[in-house]
Amino acid sequence: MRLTAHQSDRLAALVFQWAGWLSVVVLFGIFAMLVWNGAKAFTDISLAEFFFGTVWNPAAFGEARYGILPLVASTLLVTTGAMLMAVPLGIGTAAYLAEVAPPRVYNALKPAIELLAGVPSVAIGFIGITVVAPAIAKIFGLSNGLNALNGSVLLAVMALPTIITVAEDAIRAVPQSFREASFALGANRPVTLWRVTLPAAMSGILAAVMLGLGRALGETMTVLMAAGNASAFPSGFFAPVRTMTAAIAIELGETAQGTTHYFSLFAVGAVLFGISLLVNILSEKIARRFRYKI
Amino acid sequence: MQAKLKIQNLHLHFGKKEILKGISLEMPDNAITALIGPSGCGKSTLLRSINRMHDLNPNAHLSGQIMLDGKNILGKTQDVTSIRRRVGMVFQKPNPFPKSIFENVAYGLKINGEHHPQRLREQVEKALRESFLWEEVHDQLDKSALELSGGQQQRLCIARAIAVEPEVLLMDEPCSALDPISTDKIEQLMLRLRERFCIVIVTHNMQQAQRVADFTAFMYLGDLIEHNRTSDIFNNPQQELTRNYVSGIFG
Ligand SMILES: Nc1ncnc2c1ncn2[C@@H]1O[C@H](COP(=O)(O)OP(=O)(O)OP(=O)(O)O)[C@@H](O)[C@H]1O
Ligand SMILES: [Mg+2]
Repeated sequence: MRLTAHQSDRLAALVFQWAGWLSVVVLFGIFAMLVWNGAKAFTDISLAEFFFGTVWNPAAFGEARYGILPLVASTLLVTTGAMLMAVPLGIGTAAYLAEVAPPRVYNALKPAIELLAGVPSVAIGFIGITVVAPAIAKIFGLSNGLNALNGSVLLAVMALPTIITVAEDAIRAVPQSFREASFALGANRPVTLWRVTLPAAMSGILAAVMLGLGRALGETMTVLMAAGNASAFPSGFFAPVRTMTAAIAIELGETAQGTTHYFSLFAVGAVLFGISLLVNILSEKIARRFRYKI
Repeated sequence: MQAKLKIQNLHLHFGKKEILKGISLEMPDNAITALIGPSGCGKSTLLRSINRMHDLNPNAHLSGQIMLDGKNILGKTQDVTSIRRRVGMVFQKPNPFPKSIFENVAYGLKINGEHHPQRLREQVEKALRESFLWEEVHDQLDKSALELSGGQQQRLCIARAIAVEPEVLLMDEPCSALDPISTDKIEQLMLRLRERFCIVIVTHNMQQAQRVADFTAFMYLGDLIEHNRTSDIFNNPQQELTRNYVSGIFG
């Protein structure tokens, strides 16, 4: 059977339309599955306890406690710490690569960064335990370096390649004519970068930050291995923490199916999903504003 | 009278290739000088030498002199940013920043240290008035410059350039992306700005050169063939090449 150009266009459009719908269906499927299973936990736990309880201890001998706040706080703490390091460093590196680096330096740095993106998270966790944690312990005079700060450092390292790569592309995509206009007005390179190039690349840079944030939010293995893994409410960056992802990964394997604990982990997953979704929607909104406004 | 700009034996290479082959040219203040010539003859390259835009290109090598008020601006000790403040530039394609109309004009002032809100507003208004744009945009200064029409964008770029009070204004085919009405507006603008600046314009439009330029320089393959009053270049050219070019035999 031969297709006319028109028919094959239609066919291609149809295929991609279905692929698009499929991803929507999968997305909602996952969310529905999480909510459906998670909801079953609430026959036993009150919503108030779950969302506002400050103790997460489902396996306690006495009364099991299902407060999600320590997990959420741990996730936010570790992720915020990671982004505080990765965002300035990542954007700075991207700007350096796109605007300043001589070809020789660029050709050395670029593959190294791409390689970094491919390092498995288990290897990063391993380095976290054996190298970074002892260093942190030494620098800050702690007995143990497996804490939120350690997790943040490692997540920053993991988010960096994403942020750098996407931000560099965004900076390169800024038309040369903007830079020339700035130079022609007597601006030097740093001023041009700071006041023209970076703002013009803002929507892409925000996308880079959001992708990095998503990477940090969802990362499991590294924080599970190297962030201390204590489910108490974190007191700061030097406290050992258990993030939402780590809690799910560790505890799901140890719980009997169909128990309240089992279902509560789905509820944790649903909350994490919600946070990621929120971050995505927010970033989409911000990026759009920067694209058309300014 | 001393020329505002005096180019002496200017050579420019991109890598091994010689693009400008010893250009000598004087441009007086308060006059418009047009650079004409076939595509690729080096008009833009010459223009961009005058505000040292080639500094950004490591392959570009210049020799010779460009005197601005008697001082060689190609000198190694010259501060390139202060030269560019004195020599403004308007580009072929309108290139406003993706910022508001106000911020576009205020940009050059701000990077030169002016942050006083009241003075900024006054100077932005002044530049927009001088560019015949104020009437059209005064009530929408916060709007993105990218929402303006092409002709308005180009006048905004002119406003941006003259806001920092340069002495020389370089314009590289400023109307080539514009419709006839916008072109006419820009030409009126140039004629008025002539009172205050030394203007150098590159154009492919022979009528435009005759309408606005006091002097015209004809370039060919990196050489300056002939430079004279515009009426002489078009009505009484001394060189065969010039005659052929302005009469449209080649181009
Ligand atoms: N950055 C560059 N690197 C190498 N060669 C260049 C560069 N810019 C221009 N050239 C070359 O220099 C020559 C002159 O170019 P230029 O842009 O000055 O011409 P022009 O007279 O402005 O032409 P047009 O009327 O088409 O704009 C051309 O041969 C061009 O290929
Ligand atoms: Mg040109």
